[in-house]
Formats: sequence, structure tokens, C-alpha cells
Amino acid sequence: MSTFAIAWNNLLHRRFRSLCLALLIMLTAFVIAGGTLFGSSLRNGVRSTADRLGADAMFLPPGAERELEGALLEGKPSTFYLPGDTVRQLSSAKNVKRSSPQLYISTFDSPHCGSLVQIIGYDPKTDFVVAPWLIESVPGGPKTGEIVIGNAIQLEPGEEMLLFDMRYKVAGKLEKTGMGFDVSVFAGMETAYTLIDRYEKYLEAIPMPDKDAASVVVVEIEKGVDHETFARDIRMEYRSVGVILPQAIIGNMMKHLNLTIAVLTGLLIVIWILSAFVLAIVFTVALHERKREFGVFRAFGATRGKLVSILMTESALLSAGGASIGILLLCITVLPFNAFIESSLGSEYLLPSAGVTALILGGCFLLCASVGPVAAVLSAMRISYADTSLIMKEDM
Amino acid sequence: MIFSISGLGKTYKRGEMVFSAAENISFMVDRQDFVCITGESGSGKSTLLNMLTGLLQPDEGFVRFEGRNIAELSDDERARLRNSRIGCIPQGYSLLNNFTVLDNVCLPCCLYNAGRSAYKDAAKKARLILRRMGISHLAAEHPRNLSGGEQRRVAIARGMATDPVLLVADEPTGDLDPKTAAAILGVFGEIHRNGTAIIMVTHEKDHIPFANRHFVMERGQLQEIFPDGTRSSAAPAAEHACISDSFK
Repeated sequence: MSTFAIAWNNLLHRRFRSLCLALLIMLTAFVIAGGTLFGSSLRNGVRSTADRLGADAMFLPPGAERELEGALLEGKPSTFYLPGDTVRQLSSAKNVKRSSPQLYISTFDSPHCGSLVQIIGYDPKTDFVVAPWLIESVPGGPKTGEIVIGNAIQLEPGEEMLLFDMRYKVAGKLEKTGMGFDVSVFAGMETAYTLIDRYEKYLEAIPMPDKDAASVVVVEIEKGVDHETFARDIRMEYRSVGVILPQAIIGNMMKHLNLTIAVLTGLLIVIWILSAFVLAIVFTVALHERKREFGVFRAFGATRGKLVSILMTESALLSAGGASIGILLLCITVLPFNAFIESSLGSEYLLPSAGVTALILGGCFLLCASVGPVAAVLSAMRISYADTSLIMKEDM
Repeated sequence: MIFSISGLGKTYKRGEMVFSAAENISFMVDRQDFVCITGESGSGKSTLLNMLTGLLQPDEGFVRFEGRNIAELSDDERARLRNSRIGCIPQGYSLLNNFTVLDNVCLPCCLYNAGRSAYKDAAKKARLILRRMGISHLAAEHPRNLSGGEQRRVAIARGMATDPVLLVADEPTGDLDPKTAAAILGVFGEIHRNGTAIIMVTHEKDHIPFANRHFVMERGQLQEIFPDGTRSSAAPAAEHACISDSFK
């Protein structure tokens, strides 16, 4: 009869106690795996936002930084302009490797528009930010009267979208980006200019300063140039231009996130320790009840090592069982709703890839499966040092 | 000779008080011996048995089992020796309630041999022993469903499972009615006739006739009571006895 069989039999014999302990470990595993996955998704979301923004720097009108961040990260529609001559000058500024203008136009909640979205006019010839996200390439970019839509917009290529009382054909769709792009509509500059005419007409808004104006110029900086120095130089040279460094936005987000993750990690560690503590108490109490049983084992020839291995196997079985169920439960109850969580939390949440998720869950399993054996160490040591003849007598 | 004991001593501390549970005990046991040790509670009987089986280390003297000094063995070696050569029947109800009667009897045999075939062999042997004890019909039962007498029989069966050369029983008939106690003693008699030495500790004087040697334990000292009623003033030191044996 193997140690495993003896341990399994012992667990089955004390069904209620085993079930309660497994339940505790299951909850621990659920919370720890869920918490770790949540923290990783937050970190992953912020990191990949930096990659998704695609540009090293963005030029925009001073004071429009918050609106741009809102549009990029949360998909909050807004409209702002940078004069045409400034756009031209910025495109040829020092240390700019390549640049592309973008025009931001907000729709509004009315029967004139199908939905409230951010329209981003871009120049497919110079663009290097939008095109990489197209699911299927749209050669030469969307033609006049055509649009490309973000992944979260419920339309498919070939269908039409109502924008300012005009119907635009959907020429393509972007991959999921997890940021404002998902609820944005992309159009070539010609289409964007017609849209902005209509926007101004409907909202009686301040007209666009000139025909070549843009909202943002996305820039790739020459290699080896410090981004902060580049931004400072641009601000000094062009007083009427604001500069956003996506990495700086990400840096700020990361700073807040790291604090959140540190608190979360602390809580998870406390939960793990509490579980181990509760298990250690239960094992110690159980050991007292089981003194005679272990004494009998010793009497018919079990070594101290055998007793320790029985106890450790019991605790490992409990932990492994509880942890597997907890993680399985997490996979069944939480992972299917990941899309909902992502859309609720926006760009700051993106579940890691399947491989990384599996690694995280595997790591959490090992961590939670170790809680039982760790908690049982004290009891195992007590068995190792106990005087069998005395414990047999104590129990009389 | 299965084992010899020489100058065995053990003291315990209870608070400031030091008392001797075993004092200069010496005797030998042969294969044909059925030893009955009587004595009052607290006289040191269980301490002596625990030292014999290697569960307790003596402060003085030694136990030589089949020529090997138990004190010189490691704890693991002593455990393996108990498992293979000594059958232990602990005091009170000692069956493991989470195992069936059959598994309780099999456990000592497959403690270190976890293979399926080892279990099969152990189960076959266990069924034979249970049949000999007249309780084969209880093989699938759990100990909690058995009477006191049946539980003792199972404990004896477990003690016999590894074909030990020595069976050590601590109060095997305690709290049993006289009829059941007599039946249990009958089982011991049969085991003894089949060539296993027995050391039995008991309170009951009625059990003495079942054994062929009788010792009395009083305040940590052991004396043999001979059939003519005389007592050994002090049991001969085993080492001396061995030397005199070798001269014969």
C-alpha cells in the first residue's frame, strides 16, 4: 500500500475536514490566480498601449493634451486643430525621421450620426500608425467616401455607417487594440475634410483655420535622439505647439499602476500567509487528534520518515486538489467574461497571450499547491521528534 | 534465544521528582517462551515493552534482539526490525478506523512494498490469518462496526501479519468480558504452539496459566515467579547467562 494510498484513504475518512480545507485552498487559488492575472492584464494593457500608439512623439495644439489622451486611451471624441503651416514646419523639424498628420473630428449623439465615435482623418501615404492595425490591407488606404473602423464598432467591411447624415462604406476593420482606436473611425484626409465641413455646419463650431490644418502630427524620431530633449527643443522652437511623448503618458500610468499592483501583491501575499496559517492550525489540531494513529503506525514498524511522508502527501493532495479546482473555476467563471472586463476597463486592461496566461495560472497553481505542505511542516517536525511511546501513553 | 536484556534501566522526571520506571532488568526469551508479565498500573510494564520493541531508548543496559543490540541501531533500522520481526499489539483499541479489517491486517506487510502484487500477496496472507482467527467474514468491515473482542482479534491478526518471531502484547484483554478474554488467550496459545514467542503484559492473574513463564513487575523491578512459587531474587544478567550458555 503506497504512501499515496494511505494518505488518500486518510483524507477520504475525514471527508468534511478535507472538503473544508480544500475549499479554503480553492478560494485562495481563485483569489491569487485571479488577482495575479488581473495585475498582469493591467500591466500588459499599459505596456501594449505604448506599443500600439506607434509614434515616438505627437505634436498638437497646446492645452489639447488631455483631449488627445482621452481620445487615444478611452475613445472620448474631441476636435482640435493645428494650423496648416505649423503642420508643414513640424514635418521638416530637426530630428524628425518621418511624420504623418491626423485630423480628429468628434461625432455627436444625434440621429445624424450612427454612433458617438472619434473620427480620425489620416494620410495613408505617410501613415505608419493606423495601417499596421488593419486586419486586411486596404491598398492605398480608404478611398474618398470610404472609412476604416475600429474593432469594437459593430459593422463589417462592405456595410455602411451614417456620419453627419452621409453614408460611408466600411472598407476595412482594425485588429483589437484595447484603446481608443477600437471605437474610432478612420478616413482618408479628403473624406475627413468633407466630414469636418459637415461637423462645423451641424455644431456651428469654430471653423478649421485653413484647408491644410490637422489636429495631430504623429512623429518618429531619429534613432539615438533623446525623446525628452527632442520634445524640449520643439517646445522652445515652436511656442504654439504642444508635444506628447507616448512613453511619458505610459510612464505616468505605469507609476500609478505599479502602486496598485504593489498593494494587490501585498494583499495576495497576506491571503497566502493567512491560508497557510489556518491550515497550519488545523494540521496541528488534527495531529493532536491523530497521535494515537501515528503511534500505532510506529508500533507496527513505520519509520518517522514514513509518517512525515504520509502527512506531507495528505497536505499536498489537499492543496493540489483545492488549487486545481480554484484555477479551473477561475477559467470557467472569469475568463469567458474577459471581453466584458476589457471593454469595462478600457485600454488599461489587456489579458496576456494564452501562453503567458497559462504560465501565470501554472505559477499560481504551484504557489497554492505549496501552501499545504508548507503549513504541514510544523506538524511533520513534531511527528519526527515525538516520542512514540509517550504519545501512545498520552492518548490512553 | 530471540532476545536478551541486561541491566535495563529507565528513569522519568515528573517535575522535580525523578522516578525509576525500570531498574536493572535482565532476562532472556527463547522461541518456545510465552511470557506473562503482571504488575500494578504504573509499575513500568509498558515502559519495559516499549524498550523491548525499540520504541523507547533505555537509559542503562541493552536489549539484544537476535544478536543485535537494538540501541546501536538507528531509529529507522529499529522501525524496520519491528516491522519484519516483532509483532506489536498496542494497549487499547489500536485499529485504524479509516481502513477495512483486511487493510488493517495488510498494512504492516505493504508499508514498504507499495506494489500491486505485494498488496495481493499481503491480502491473501491476511485472509488466511483472519480465517485462523475465525473472523474472515469481517474482512470488508470497518473497525468501528466490530465488537471489542473482534477488534482485539484483528489487532492480533495484524501483529501476526509479517510472521514475527516475537509477539508483544500490551494488555490485550483489557476491558473485555471473561469469555472474550479467554477466547483471545486461546488465540495466543495457538500462536505460541505454532512457534512464535509471546510476551504479554496483563493485570489479570487468571491469565498467568496460559503462559509458561511468569514475571512480576513491581516499582520498576522485574522478578520471575517459578512454578513452585519461588521468586528469582534478581533475574540473572543476560550477558552472564549468555556466557554460561556458551560454556555448556
